[in-house]
Amino acid sequence: MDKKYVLNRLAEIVGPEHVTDEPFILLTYTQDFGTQPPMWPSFVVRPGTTEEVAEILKLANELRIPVSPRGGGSAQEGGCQSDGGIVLETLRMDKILDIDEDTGTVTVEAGITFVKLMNALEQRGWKIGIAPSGAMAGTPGAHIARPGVGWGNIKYVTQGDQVVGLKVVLPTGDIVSTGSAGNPNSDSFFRYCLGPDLAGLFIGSEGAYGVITEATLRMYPWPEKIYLERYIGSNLRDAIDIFREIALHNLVCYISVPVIKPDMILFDVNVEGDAVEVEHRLERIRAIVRKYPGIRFMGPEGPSRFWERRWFNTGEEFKDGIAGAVNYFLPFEKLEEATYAMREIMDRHGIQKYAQQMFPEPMGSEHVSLMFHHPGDKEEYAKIQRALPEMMDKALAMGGCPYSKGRQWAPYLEKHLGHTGYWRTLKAIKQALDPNHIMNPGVVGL
Amino acid sequence: MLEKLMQQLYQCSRCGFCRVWEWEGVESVCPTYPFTPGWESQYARGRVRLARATAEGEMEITPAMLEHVYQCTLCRNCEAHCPVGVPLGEIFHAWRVDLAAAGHNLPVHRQIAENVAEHRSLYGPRGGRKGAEVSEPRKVSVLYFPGCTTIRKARKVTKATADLLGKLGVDFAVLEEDACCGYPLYETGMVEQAKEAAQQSMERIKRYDPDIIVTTCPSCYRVFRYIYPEELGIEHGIEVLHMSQYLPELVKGKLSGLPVRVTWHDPCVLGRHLGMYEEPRELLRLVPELELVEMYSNRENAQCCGAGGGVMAAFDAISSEVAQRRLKQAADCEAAVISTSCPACLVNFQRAVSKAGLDLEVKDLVEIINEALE
Repeated sequence: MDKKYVLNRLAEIVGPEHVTDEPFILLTYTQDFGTQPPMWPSFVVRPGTTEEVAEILKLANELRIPVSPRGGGSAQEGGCQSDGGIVLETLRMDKILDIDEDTGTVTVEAGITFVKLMNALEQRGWKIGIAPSGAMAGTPGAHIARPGVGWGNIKYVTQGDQVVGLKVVLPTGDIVSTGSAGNPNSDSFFRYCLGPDLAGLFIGSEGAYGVITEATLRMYPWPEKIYLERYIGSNLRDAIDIFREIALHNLVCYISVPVIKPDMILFDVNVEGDAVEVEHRLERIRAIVRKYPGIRFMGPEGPSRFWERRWFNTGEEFKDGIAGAVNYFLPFEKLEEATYAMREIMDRHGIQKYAQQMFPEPMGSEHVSLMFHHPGDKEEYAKIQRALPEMMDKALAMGGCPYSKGRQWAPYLEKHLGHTGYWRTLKAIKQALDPNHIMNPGVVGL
Repeated sequence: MLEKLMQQLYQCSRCGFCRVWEWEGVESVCPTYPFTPGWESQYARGRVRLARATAEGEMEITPAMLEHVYQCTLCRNCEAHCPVGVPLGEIFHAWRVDLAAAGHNLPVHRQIAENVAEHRSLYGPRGGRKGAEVSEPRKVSVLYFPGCTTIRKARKVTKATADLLGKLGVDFAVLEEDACCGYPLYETGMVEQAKEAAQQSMERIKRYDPDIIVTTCPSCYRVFRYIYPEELGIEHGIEVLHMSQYLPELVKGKLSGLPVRVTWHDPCVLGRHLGMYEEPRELLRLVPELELVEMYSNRENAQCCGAGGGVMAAFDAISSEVAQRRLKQAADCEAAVISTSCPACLVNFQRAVSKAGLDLEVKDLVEIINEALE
């Protein structure tokens, strides 16, 4: 690759100030928020429009240069890294394009940060359904590409479920609008229409099929009341039974389970609606919890304080360092087994600081294991790197399904899924859309 | 110096919260980032990674890298909003000290150091202007130390201070001649040169044998009060007060009505570096009829004016854009006056007001108190 030639061609597209091959800048794009080993890109480019993204992908396709999209760089599985290719950072694309109070949708560019979006909506009396815990740095383009979850998991499920339509640039440079916006005479207001749901193809593809440059998400009137309360107990099975019953009856916006220890489980419920609705839901939640005498009511103060500073507080969790993360979905009946299995592996490898958590969904839960270390601690890092593969392997063997895969999960996905029709179809789609394999190669296992 | 902070450098979890917020009183954690091309290395997360790389000899230091290093105003907003508590201000300063010691700094900052060494002012010789008339030093109880920027660029503050102290009947003198406290050199990493400047200034100060040194500049205040004894080994034993500390007792009950809507801009050094958020506000509240209103970003969240850390000298356009953004916050709260007590903020705002097209007056705290003093 003639790097100077590529740099000049990229500069012609985005302007020389928005592309770089400076080693000291490249260094700062070698990792994300997780523990994947650094990878060095050859270029970082920061396009400002969908059309510029299209021109970059056309060039990359012509020259066979891999391209890895990156939002806020705040995921944990190495999905935005590039080995010798182009990191395409979307942060310049940070505008709210339309707040449509007629259809209850908001259309944004992919690189806006969630907090900026949510703050703008809140000022007009609206909210989005799923607020990721990394909202301060994270972007919708990247969150949809994982697809991420967040606060709102039970009522609103995942960010993918909030998508009404996407604008995506394919590796060939073609620009695709999904859902109702597939009709050139229509805006994005409905997802399942005209033909197959193309948005679903890109949700969770982590950039392997194309670059999301715009998203239309559902938005909801800001609730009259948001109320939180906390419970604590020692019996994991009881707590999971409570989660299941609350989730199946769709009584909360979300349940957050930030602490699961061998002798303690702590969870918060967040209920939203009008005052009467919130009271009614709370009565039903408390009636469910009362069936389990070992679970104690701890009141609203703790979670309410957290909620007030929620975006900041999520970052405080990482005072113990950067986390090696193993996060995946499981049905309720398998959560207890998974908790013990993950804990056994982490203990066996002597991981010093780890956290286990759950964030229930309507049909099961996200199961989270975070292994903390400071990057200078090479011994602990080595232990985490030994534990991670075993945990991912075990999780998939138990039927676990990761949502954010990045490069971290790729070999284990291929190992467990490689013989399936699902995997063959993923590969066939990849071949059809990206015959030169330029789009984020290696991510997901594609 | 950075080698002592390696553990703290490794505390950074790379969460990226130090880029932008647009939530709860903070538009942008990093004041300069929005006005740069926006690379990772142009806000705290990337700078921490770069600092590690240079400290560990992983990365060659280039002029382009130095630009990104020195586009930081050392405002410490990133530190105030770091969820894991990385001491970013200390880290970025220590990094500059190491870089400067190895001969890596920006030409404009080297020029400033030469100016201070030769002319006792970061602005160099006085050019066509007449040199300052220096009164014969005598023993005074209060010595007002204006500092380089106030003497050269904000004369109205020197005049207002002298006028005010005179009206109050204070036994005072103004150190009218050029004298640099050393802070501009200290903040750009040139500690040895800062120490030389400090010694020169102390020689001049001691001619007045003051009981108290008062300043209208938070940087002068910080170096005299803390950095001289704690980091430069200069024990002068003189009480040092910032005007916002010195004035309240003297002016209480003596101020007349000033019906004006004022907003207070927290200078980074006075606020986040030293925690003095309420002293200037309390002083302004002593002025009858003065309506004090707060900007969207205030106190710990206050947005930097864009001048600090050597940015105004090295990156004029960025500095001006940051100031314009801050002034828009003042306009948004419908203030007629934006007041501060830092000559760098004052100068940066004054030149940015017209660029921002705003109908705002920029006044030092002392100017307002002087106007209100009967």
